[in-house]
Order: sequence, then structure tokens, then C-alpha cells
Amino acid sequence: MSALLIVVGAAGTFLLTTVMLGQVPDALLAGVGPALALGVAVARYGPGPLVAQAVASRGTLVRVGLAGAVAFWAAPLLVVSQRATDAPPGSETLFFTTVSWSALLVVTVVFHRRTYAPVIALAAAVTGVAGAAGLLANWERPSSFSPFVRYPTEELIMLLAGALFAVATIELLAAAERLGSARVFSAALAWAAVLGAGGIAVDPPALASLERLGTPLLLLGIAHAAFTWGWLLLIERRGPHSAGAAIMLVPVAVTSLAVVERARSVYGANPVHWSPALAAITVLLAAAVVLAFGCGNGPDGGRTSFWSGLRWAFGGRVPLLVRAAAAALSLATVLSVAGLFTPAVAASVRGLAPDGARFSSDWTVLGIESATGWLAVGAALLALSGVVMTAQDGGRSRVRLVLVAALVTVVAAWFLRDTSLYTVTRWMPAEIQQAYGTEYARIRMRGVIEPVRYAALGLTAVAALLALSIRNRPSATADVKEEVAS
Amino acid sequence: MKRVLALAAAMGLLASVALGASACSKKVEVQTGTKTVCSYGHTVSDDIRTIEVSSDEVALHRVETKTVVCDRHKKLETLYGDAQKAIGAGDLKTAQAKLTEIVAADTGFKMAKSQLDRIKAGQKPAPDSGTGTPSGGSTPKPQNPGDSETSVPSGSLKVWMPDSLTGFTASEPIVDVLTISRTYRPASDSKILTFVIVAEQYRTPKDAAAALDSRIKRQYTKDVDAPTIKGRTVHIGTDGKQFAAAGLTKGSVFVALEMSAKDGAAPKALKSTLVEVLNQLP
Repeated sequence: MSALLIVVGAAGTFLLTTVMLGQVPDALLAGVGPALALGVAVARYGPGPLVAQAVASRGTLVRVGLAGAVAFWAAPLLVVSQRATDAPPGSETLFFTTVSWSALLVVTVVFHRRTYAPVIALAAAVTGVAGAAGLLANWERPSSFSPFVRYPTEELIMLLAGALFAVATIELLAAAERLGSARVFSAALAWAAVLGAGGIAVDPPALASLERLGTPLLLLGIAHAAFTWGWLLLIERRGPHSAGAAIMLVPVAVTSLAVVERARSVYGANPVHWSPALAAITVLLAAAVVLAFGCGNGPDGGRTSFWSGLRWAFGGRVPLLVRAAAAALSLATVLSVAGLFTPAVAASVRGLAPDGARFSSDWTVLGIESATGWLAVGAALLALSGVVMTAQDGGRSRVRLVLVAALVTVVAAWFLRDTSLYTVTRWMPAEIQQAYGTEYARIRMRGVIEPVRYAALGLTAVAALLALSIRNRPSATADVKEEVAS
Repeated sequence: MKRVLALAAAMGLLASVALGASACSKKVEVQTGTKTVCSYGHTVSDDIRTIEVSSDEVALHRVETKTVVCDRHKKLETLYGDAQKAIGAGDLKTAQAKLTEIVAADTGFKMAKSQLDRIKAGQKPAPDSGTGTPSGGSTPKPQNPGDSETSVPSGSLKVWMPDSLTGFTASEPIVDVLTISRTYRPASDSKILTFVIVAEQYRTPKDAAAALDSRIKRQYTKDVDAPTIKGRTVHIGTDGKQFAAAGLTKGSVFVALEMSAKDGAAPKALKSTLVEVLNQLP
């Protein structure tokens, strides 16, 4: 239920903000949600925790309050301040405010040692980000998705907002574990609501717009509050991984609106390229499931590290299948990283300039600029960490989960082979790029079957299948601890 | 503190990788050069080539196409003009000599052959009072809408953009499933800067009519005409500044023709050329 609140709340916030941008001041857009969320806190916990927190130590109060204000007011305000209706375009905004925030949260969680399996978490984050990029790049042709090309400053600031949100989340979680969620969440939301109200009060246009408070603004506030509460409840109950997994699925929810629209009526040609989009959706789902259920919550309580586990996987006491899988996946990981710098997509543009001159250019998109390039890296990392997980006694079902996710990613990479993450570039003449998709210019992308990357994908698939076939999983924790001790 | 710094460093590295990927310079193959085409349909010179350049230099390279009247056809035009004057003056002997010389060089040049045949048959041909716009080596034949090359919509749409139009050199059509467009280069001495024909397939005739309404009738509201050409009503108008356009529908197909005028030329003057082109379409 909390996960659903996160997905629906975030999707609703994104869509309703898009509708009201330019009509309603930013302070109002960011300030309504915290006020409603505080109302829910008071309704849920009563005023007691707020009072208790108010008389707590000043240091604690400031830290909790700051974390709440940053997470639920400042970060959303930063995002809204960088948005115009279509600048950055919706696909890029969604990418930099949902799945990227999930990845930043994973990095923060790993650095705060709040996960059993940091490499799996990072692999799931890489895979999820690649899947989301592949999905958003297939929303339409020509694609509007080209991160950091037209709006690098705005998008960096959105990432900064995500980083602040991630750090604040961990701070709130740590405080809640010490002081209790009722006090901490109430105080955090109180600060966010006060600052939100203050932001509205000092902004005359925002104050004037309150008179026009209509249904969309109220719905936005509800969506933001729903996301806030879903987030707080999920990080408390299941840990930040699960919350990160939920927010990773927001692009899937927004894309599904296209299905709803077409079920109700038909509005011309369908812009979404469903074959690669569905492949990307399966990757996102797999990555989210791994992040939610495959990483574990809580610090690595003295269990083996990834590198120790990898050394064990090559050791003499290990069955041949495990060694073979580990070797193949190690090679696959290296190849997939090398594949980021090899050709992935062949691009061509044909167009007509306003002065009548014909324009023709062909170039190669590298793996680092393509969906398949990053999916190969994600799949190899997932599978390798799945094999190493056996050294960490991760549980059979968890290992299978990770390996199956790797296989799903490998298969999806084939369907996303034509997907470049950069349709718009800085060096293509503007008059040509602006005419993409019209009678004056067209751009075509075709996937390149490049040996290094596809060898990585092939090795990953074979090794993952090998690892899945292992029935009697050796118990390696004792072996590795013995090695480490010696 | 160390952990926070490490975290910030990791995030900074990730952002740098992403920024770097978007900004990295690469090698791009571009076509560059100039193709000079005679307005009578043949290539005069062509130095178009494909070269590899750095992405920073891509914007500097394009393919220019110049349309000129080559020396040979200039001479033929002069002879033809003289032949018409001779016909008008009743001097069929002089006219026959001129027309014979023209037909020997190009049998499809304007009405030279037919006029010569009439003179040889002892008849007096009517002088050609044409607009002066050069015609192709052969008279363009309108294609029948039924002559579709493929079963997909774009195949049948191609009939609306013939390979040759009087006074223009056709470029390669740009084809999508439901839309096809083609630009036509005018003669270099023409007052037309650009000319494009677009044909689009809609689900219903009503949708096609709505497209005609929104994209032609409401955009080109000056100098409006609605002539009947080849049995259908065509909407012609200008924007009063630079562009003239014509639009028509045939069933669920919407066809638009758009011309832009060179600096100093009024778009109203392009309407007659639009009508001439429309007479060459199905």
C-alpha cells in the first residue's frame, strides 16, 4: 500500500505540476503538499509527538526539521523552479526526478552501510536507470529524451535536489530509529509545512493565487502528501531500498496512461514504440523487485564482503559450475564496461535546410550513449553479484531473484538495441533538429551488432543459467571467514 | 565527514560521466558539395562527396543544389524563341530551320517536334506563347491514383508527388507510414525559394477535411481562391508575407503544396505557379 502511495503520488505530482506550471507560482506548487501531509501526521499521531519533539534537544530538533524541510519542501521546490511546461521535456524531467532519485538513494544507502548487498543494490540501480532511460527514449519518434544536452543546468539541479532528498531520507530514518517515527515524522513535516507556508506568504503572486485555489492545486497537494506519507511509511517498515524501488516504477505508471487514453478513445497515431518500451518496462520491474527484495535491510552484520565472496567463488572448494559462472561473469562485466566505448547504434539524418540546401550526416552512437550499453553492464553486475551472493548466504530465493533479473535484462537489451539515449545533440544544426519528424528532416537509428557488447550479454545469459542450475549451494560463509581470518 | 565527502565525490563522478557522454566530440560522416542541375532535368556538374569531420564542423557542411539553364539549353531557348517569332510572322521556312536544329539537339524540347511535324505536313502551327518557365525534357504525365507501388499507405500517397514537374527538379521523397513529402527545387532565376508537397493519410475523409481546414484555410487567409482543378475544389491562399499554399482532399488523403517566395517577391505571385503544378497532379 505504501509503495502504491509512492507511485501514484509521485506520478500525480509530476503530471499535475506539468499542468499548472506557469499558471501557479512555484512556492504554491511546492508548499501545498507539506501542509496536507502535516495534517495527516496530526490526524494519525495527534499533536502529542509534535509537542514532545518541540521540547527535545535543540540539536535533534534542528537536524530532524532540516531533514524534513529539505526532503519535502526544498527538494520539490528546487525541481519545480527548474521546470517549464516543456523545458526540460517531460521525459527528461521524469527521468531526473524519479528513477535518478532512486539511484541516488541507493548510492546514499550503500555509503551509509544500510544494505546487506551493496553491489546488488548498485547493480539494480544501474539496471533500473538504464531501463527507465530506454523506456523514456521510446515514448515517441523522434524522441525528446536527450539528457544533459539542452538543459544541463536544470537537470543537474534536479539531481542535486535528488541527492539532498536521499541524504535527508537517511537522516530521518536514523532519527526515527532512535526517537520513534511519530515524533520524527511529525517534526519533519511540521518544518516542511511551516517553510512551505512561509514561502507562500512572502511571495505575493503565490498569496494572490490562493484565491484561485482550485481542484487541480488541491489534487496536487493530495498527490504530494500521498507520496510523502507513502515514502515515510515504507522507509520505516521496509527500508530505503523498498522506497527506492517504488519510485523507480513511476515512469511505468506514467507510460501506462497511454494505454488508458487509447482504451477510451483514439487520438491519431500511437507515439509510443511499444516493443522496446515493454522490454524496458520489464527491466524496470525486475530492477525494482531486486532492489526491494534482493538487497536486504540493515548493515552487513559481519558477513563477507563482495570481494571476499568473489575470491571464494574462484576457490578450490567451490564446485566447477560456480567457478565457471564466476569466471564468465567477471569477463562479461569487463566486456560490458568496454562495450560502453564501442559502437552501439548507427544514426543518420537527412534534411532540408531553410535555404533549400540538403543536409545529410551519419554517425555512430557509442554504448555509453545507448540503452543496450548500460543494460549489458547492469545485467553482468546483477548476475555476478548473484553468484557472489552465495558466499553471503543470501538465501536461495534471493539469489534466483537476482539471476532471473539479469536474464530478463539480457533479453530486453535485444529489443532495445535501436535505442539511442541522445536524439538531440549539441552539434547538429538547430534548424535541422527542430524539423525532425516533419517533411523537412528525419532521423533514423539502427542498432549495431557489436561483438564486445553482445559477447558480454551472451556470457551473462549463459553464466546466469549455469548459476540457476546449481542445486546444492555450497555454504561458503564459514570458508570465507576462515580465509579472511587466516 | 569522510563518508559525506566520498558520497559527494561519487555523485559528482556520476554526473560527470553523464555530462561527458552528452558532450563528447565524435566523427561524423557528412555529405558536402554542390550539384548543378539544368532546369531541363539533367545534371550539369556534381561534386557531392561524403567526408568525415569532427562533430563541431558538421553544421558547416551541406549539399547545395543550383538549378541553372545550361549553355546548350540556353541556345535552344534562343532558337525556340526565334522559331516562335517566325511562326507568328508567317515565316515557316525560317521556323522550320530553327525547329529542325532544336529537334536534332533535343527531341522533347517544348513543342518543337510537334510544331515541326505540322510545318512538314504543310500546316501552320500555333505559336507557343508559354509562361517562359522551362519544361522538362518530356512532358510530365500525371499519375493515376490507382498506380500505387506498395500496399502500405505511403506507397499510394506517392502519386501526389511526381518525379518531374514543370520548372522544378524533384528531390528524394521523405517517406513515413502515413505521410510522404517531397521538395522540389525551382530554377535559379525563379521567384520561388522553396517548394514542398506533403500528402497525409487520415482515418476518415472528415479527418482529412479537418486537416485542410486547420493547416491551410486558417493559416493562409490572404489572397484566397478556391478554383476547381481536375474536378475538385482546391483552396489556395497566402500568408501575405512570404508563403503561398494550396490544399485539397481526396477521400481520406490530405495534400498540401507550399511555396515560399524569395526576398522582394510577393507570395501572391506564386499562386499561378501553384495552379500550374496542381494541373500536373492526378
